[in-house]
Order: sequence, then structure tokens, then C-alpha cells
Amino acid sequence: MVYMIDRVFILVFFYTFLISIMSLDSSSNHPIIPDLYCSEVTSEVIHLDSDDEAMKLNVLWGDSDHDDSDESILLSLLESEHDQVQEQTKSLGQQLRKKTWLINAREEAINWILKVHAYYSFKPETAYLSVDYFNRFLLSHTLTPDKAWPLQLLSVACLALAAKMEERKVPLLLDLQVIESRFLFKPKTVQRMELLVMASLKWRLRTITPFDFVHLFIAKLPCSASTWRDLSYIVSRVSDVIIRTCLVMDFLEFSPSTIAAAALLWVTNQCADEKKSECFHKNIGIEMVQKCYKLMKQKLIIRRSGLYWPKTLQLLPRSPTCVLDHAAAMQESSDAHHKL
Amino acid sequence: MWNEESDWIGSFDALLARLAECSMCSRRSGERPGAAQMDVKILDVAAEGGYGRVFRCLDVHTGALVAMKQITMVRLSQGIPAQIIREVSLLRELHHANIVKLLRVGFTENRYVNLVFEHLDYDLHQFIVNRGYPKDATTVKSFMFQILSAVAYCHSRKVLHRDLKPSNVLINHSKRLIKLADFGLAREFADDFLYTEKLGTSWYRAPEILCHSRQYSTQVDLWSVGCIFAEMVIGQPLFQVINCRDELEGIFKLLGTPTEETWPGITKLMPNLHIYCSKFDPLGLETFVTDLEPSGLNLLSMMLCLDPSKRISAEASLKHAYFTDVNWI
Repeated sequence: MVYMIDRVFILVFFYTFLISIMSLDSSSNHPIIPDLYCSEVTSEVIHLDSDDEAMKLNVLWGDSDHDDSDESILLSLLESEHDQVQEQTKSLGQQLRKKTWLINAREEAINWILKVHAYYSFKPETAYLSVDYFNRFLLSHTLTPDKAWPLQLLSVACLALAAKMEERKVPLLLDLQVIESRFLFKPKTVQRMELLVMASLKWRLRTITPFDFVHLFIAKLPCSASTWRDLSYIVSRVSDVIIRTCLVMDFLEFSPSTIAAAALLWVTNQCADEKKSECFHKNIGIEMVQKCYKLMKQKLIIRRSGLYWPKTLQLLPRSPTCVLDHAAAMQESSDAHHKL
Repeated sequence: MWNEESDWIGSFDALLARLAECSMCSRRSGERPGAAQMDVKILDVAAEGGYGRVFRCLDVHTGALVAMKQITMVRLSQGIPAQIIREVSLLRELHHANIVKLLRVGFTENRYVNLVFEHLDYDLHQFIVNRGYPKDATTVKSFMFQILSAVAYCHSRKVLHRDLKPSNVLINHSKRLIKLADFGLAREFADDFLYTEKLGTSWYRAPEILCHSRQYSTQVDLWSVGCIFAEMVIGQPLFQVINCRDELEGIFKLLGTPTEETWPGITKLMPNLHIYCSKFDPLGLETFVTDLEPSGLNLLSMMLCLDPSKRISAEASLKHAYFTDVNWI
């Protein structure tokens, strides 16, 4: 928290400086700025929209103490992520594709989970974990296609387990089933399913999720949010994108950190090029982030106009036409990049 | 309807039985559930609590001593209790020399969950009460370093313990090895979230929790560690020594009633602070915690700091001057 406050102050200071530079009186009576450092900063400001200069500014904003702490947390998370057998969920996508009935049933089950999640205003993490448990259970069990109730029971159990892991208050097992349930299971039955799921997952329910990475990645992003309002807006949009990935089987191929990186780049309307990926962490594969980003572009129906614009762009002396041109240029750049 | 339901339960139970054989605990056919299912032989009851019982056992395969924590599942309307789910799930991801190792998990007749842990000789509470507190300064320092190492590891994994106290600190006698235990209240923390109020034993509870704040984080564990630190030095709970109406008053008597200057935000957190208690001048830690070297007292004062945002972290504590002269042999 202290770290975030420090960064906000630094950003506010920087914007104040930027505005004062832009408002400088250029009359001949005003003395030339003697400080070379100020001149250098001015130079950087002029080219703020270029990636190179943005990366340099990231250095200006860096706080070495907090960066070290964040870096160790990030490394710890990536180690845990690697340890949690990501290979399993990759094969799930392949297995699911062979069974058409399961694809539809799975999507229906996940939609049900998301409805209950919304009804009780659960955390985004709860939704993601529910689907994670659901997917992992499907890996180790074959279900008969002629009965619909096992998947419904599995959905209830996974949602209950995720809520118990994440939420302060968990509704009763019967109350969890009030939303559009075709079957109503007794608490004892759900408890048995809970035990089955936990044993099946070897009691490893503390799963690394993309949400573990979002704040850490936002702190690394150049031209990041400058106010609390913008930060919460970005987090909210990124969470929405991450939850939408649960519905698309193809995202099972990607690790949580990759999904978090791609979702953040998507929401902040940036291309998933090499520089952006590398600034998150050297252990996060560039190719996978690009592939995930591309899949988000294809699968997720989120209009560009709803995305967040970096604050810095609005501070530059640009007309609306220039902004639109810039967006078009970014779009073309993105397309050109993916064609390579 | 009955037939259909019977069919579900039958196939469900069969699936459960088959899975049980493949899960963490192996089961031999014909054996009755319980200790045998967990491959342990019960020796005696080591402890009893609200959760259930802890048995001292022998591992059938290795012959080693183990501890089996048997938790009764009540209130079926809620299914598996959240405390069990959290404790097991978090312990499955925490691998550290100073954190108790969970060996096996099993369930019995849908009524008990059995957690099999490595066995340690006693806990820090017993150590202080029965054997006289660790008067040896080296032992205190070694214990503190191990506790802080475990706490720093948990926090780097984004896990709060939330119930640190001497009885949850286990000791291996011969090795003088410390292990944190009982993660039933532990959970993953997030910076923007509200947590359950009033957790943990009262003498080790951080002031921000006692003030009914629900926005707290890793600092609550550091306060508890500070209380443990003081207790190891003086031989009894620090806030038991201070005569007071309740724990919060005791804290204010010791450290001084907070002001907006010493604890920014306190007037919003406790609007009725001036009614709640008188304005105390601090008695000071040195009044009660004698026989602790100056650097130790300095570290303790940074742990028992009223303002959570100024309280020292576990990671920073490990780098404190108090530990620099320690020779780990």
C-alpha cells in the first residue's frame, strides 16, 4: 500500500512537471533553461509516445526498494505456478475436444457458476478457482454423457470449495443452488462431492491464479495508471477479461501469469510485442503472451471503444482526430506484427 | 425417485471408494476405517480442542512418531468446514524447514477428517511453562530467527497465519528446531480486501484487529511474533502482566494511547477513543521486558508498534542487528 502511494506521488509530481513544461512562455524575454537535466527531460517528454522513451520513463519511476520486494514476490509466484503441474490442464483441452457433449455441458456448468458468482457478488478469484477445480477434476474422471446431474453436482461442490477458500461469508450449500438449478442436492451429497473433489485434486486448492499477478504487472507497465480511480478501473476490466477466458477452452493452454500479462496488455490497449512482454518478467514467455493476446482478440467480444486509454496520451496536445489516427496506427501495427 | 437416488448414491459411493484407494492415503481391503485406514497406530491422546482431538501415533510403515489431528465435521448444511479446506490447501503449498509438515490426509465415514503431521516433542507454551522460559539468550535468538524465517516465507507466499501464539509453535527437542503449526485460520491475503474480525487468542492479537479494523495484512502476524518474543524473555504473556480491563487497554497502557500523530487514521478507526479509555502515558517496553539486550529491545519495539504501517516486516526483521552476531552451528 505504501508503495502504491509513493508511486502515485511520483506520478503526480511528474505530471505537474510535464504541464509546467508545456506551459512555458517561449518569449525572447524568458531566459534559456540552463539545466541540462531539464533539457533532457524535455526531450523525453516530446517523444513520450514512442516505446523507447516510455521504457526510459519506467526507470525514472522505479523505486529500487519496492521493486526488489515485488520482484521476489513475483519470482515466488512464478515458482509456485510452475510447481502446480500446468501440463495437466493443457491436455484437458485436447481431451475435451474429443467429446462434443462435454464441451457444451462444461460451458453450461461454467455459465451456471458465473451466474451464482454474480448473484452473491463473490470475488473474481472465487469464479476462477471454481472453474480451475472443475477442469482439474474432469482430467482425472470420466463421466457418462447420459446423465446431467453429475456435472451439476460437481459445479456446486467446486463453487462451494472456492468460496470457502476465498470468501469471508459462504452461503449454505442449499442457498448456493437457488440460481437456475435443474437439480437440488442435499448438503450431505454435496459434502461427499467436496471430499471427492479435494481428494482428486490431492487437497491442492490454493491455486495460483492470474489475479495474483495483476497488481505486480500493473506496477511494471510503463505509462501506468496515475490515480486510484484509473487503477481500480484497470483491475476491474482485467478481471472481467480473465473471467471470460474461463469460458473458452483454448485458454487452458496458457499459464495464469501469461493470461494476466495478455489481459493487462489487452485492456490497456497495447500491442503484445517483445518489449512489453519482457518488462513483466524474463521467465514469462514472449511467444505465449503474444499467442494468448491474439486468442483474446479472436475470442473475446469486447469492443475497443470500451478499453482504457493511458492517461499520458490525453495530456499531449492532440486533437481527437490525432487520437483516432494513433489508435488506427496501433491497430495496424498489431495486425502487421501478427502477420510476421 | 427413491430408486434413482439410490442409484446415484450407490455409484457415487463406489466412485468414492475407488478414489480413496488412489488418493493420498492407501487403503487395504477389509480393514476398518479410522487409524488403520491412515496407516497409523494410536498411542494416546495428545490434545483436545474445539476442532477435535490430536493423537500421538506410530506410522505403521516407518515406525516414526506422527501426530494425527482428527477434526469432526459438524453442521452438514455447510459441507466441509472452511478451516479444514484452508489449513490443508495452504499447508500443501508451504514447504519450509520451520513449518510443520503435513504427511497425509484422509476422511472417515464422512464424519472425520484426519490430518497426519510429523510429530514434534512439545510446543513453546509447554516449553515456557514447564521447563522455565528459555533464559539462555542464544536459545531465544535462535527461536526468534526460526519463527521469523517461517513467517517471512508465509508472507512471501501471500499467506497470513493469523493465530500465532506459543502453543502453535512446535519444538523438536534434540535439534532445538522450531516449526509453525495450526494454519486453520490462515488465508491468502489481498491488499484490498476486508477480513474476518476478532481472530486469534486475545493476548497475541494486534491492536488494529482489537480496534475492529477489517483491513489488515501481514503486520498482524508481526505483532503476534513480538508478543511471543517478549514472552520468551519474561516467562509469561506480556499482556497478562499488565493489569488492565482488556487487551486494548493493556496495549495503550504499555505503549501510550495513540493519537492521530502516532497512529494516523486512529480517530476514524476509533471515533470513541477518548471515551473508551483514559489518555495513558507509555510505561515503555523496558519496564516489563528486562534482561533483553538493547538491539533485541529495539527489534521488539518495532514489532510492537501501534501503527501497522510502521511495524517492521518479517523479512526486514531477519536483517536486524539483533541477529547479526548469531553463529548458526
